[in-house]
Amino acid sequence: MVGGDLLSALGDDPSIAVEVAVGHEGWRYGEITLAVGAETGALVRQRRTGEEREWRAPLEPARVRALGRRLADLDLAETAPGSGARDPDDEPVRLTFRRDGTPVEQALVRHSRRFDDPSLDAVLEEWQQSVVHVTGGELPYGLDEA
Amino acid sequence: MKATEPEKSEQAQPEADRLDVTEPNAAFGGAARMLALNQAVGNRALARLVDPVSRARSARLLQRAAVQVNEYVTEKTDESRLESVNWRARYQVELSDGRCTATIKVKLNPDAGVTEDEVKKVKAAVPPKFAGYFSGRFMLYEPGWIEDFWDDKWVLVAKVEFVDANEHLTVALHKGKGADNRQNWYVDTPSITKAHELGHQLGLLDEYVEAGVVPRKDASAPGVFTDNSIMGDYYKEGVDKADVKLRHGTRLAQVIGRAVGKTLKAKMITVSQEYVKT
Repeated sequence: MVGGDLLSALGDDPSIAVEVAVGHEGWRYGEITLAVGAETGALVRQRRTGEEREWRAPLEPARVRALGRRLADLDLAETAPGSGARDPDDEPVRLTFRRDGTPVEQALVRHSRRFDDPSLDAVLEEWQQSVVHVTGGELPYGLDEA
Repeated sequence: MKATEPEKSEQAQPEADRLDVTEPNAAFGGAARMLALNQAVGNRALARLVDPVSRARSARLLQRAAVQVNEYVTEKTDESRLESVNWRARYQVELSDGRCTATIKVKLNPDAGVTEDEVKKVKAAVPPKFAGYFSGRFMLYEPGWIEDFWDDKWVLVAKVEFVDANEHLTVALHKGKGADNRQNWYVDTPSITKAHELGHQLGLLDEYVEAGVVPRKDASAPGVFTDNSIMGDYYKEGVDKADVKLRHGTRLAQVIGRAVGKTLKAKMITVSQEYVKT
């Protein structure tokens, strides 16, 4: 696992960037990736059945640091999927940590683990709020009513 | 038991294959088929077949107590994956009065922040949405000695009941919008997705592309359908167009048939709204 100090420097150290990707291309609103680094601001990329859209927007430094802290709190050894069963429609969550553009660690967990893991829940809450901010509410779960 | 994968050949039926159960003679195939049957089996046998008293006696004999469906459902995943997709389809079925009533008893566990009004909203919205897709859409039948004439038939009525105990499924209810699955619902996600999740509880499989799941690994895989299926990618194809398909009825007939000890088949039907009012 990437050291907590490294992720805690997200937003301050320009060499550090993270990507949080949730979902997959063929269902719901697709795979929605939030990419955050100190210099690039925030990028949201939606991959949906072969189509790709992007949004870019500055993200408040406090929000970037909050995301870094949430990620630093994650214990991926505890969170990573095991050999057990998962429900249908339980979406993948892919985490990628980069230094100078090179991935230094990647992890795959399942969305439903957030209900057992407050640290993952906090990361996904930050992901959702940031994606809503960058896309004007169009993503991650749309503007339609229930 | 391993789940049966959907059959790619079973697309939506032409209208002529649908059975209108609001038409009394339809159950016996109409006047022309009655004449053909008369020629085949004779007057006395035909009289026994259509006699309402005999039919009612037969129907009573076919009544069953409630039976619990409890079937392991799985989808094959890529060998490189440590995890597998599987769950148990659990619900109650009852065959009586020409109906096969499938009831899923759901216990909702709202998060601390979910209000009573939000719980009421979900409890009010989901049953009619679920019934609208799955109830009164299929005729399950057990082929008789002469198929189409001696079949035992039941209209599939699908219900969801919210209970505090003896549940088939426990669902955590979360605030706002999010990624629903079978055991986790969000208050503000569209009700169609909750109906989709309850479709899994009935034993139906997903039908959209999902990497790592062998029968649905890409667009040409046999488990992927793009025909406006309630179990498919209706977010892309159009929520308003989503509906059940004959293959879903066939699959439910197989699952329910195993539970009640019958070899059941399914037809799509056109029925009145009475089956939707659960």
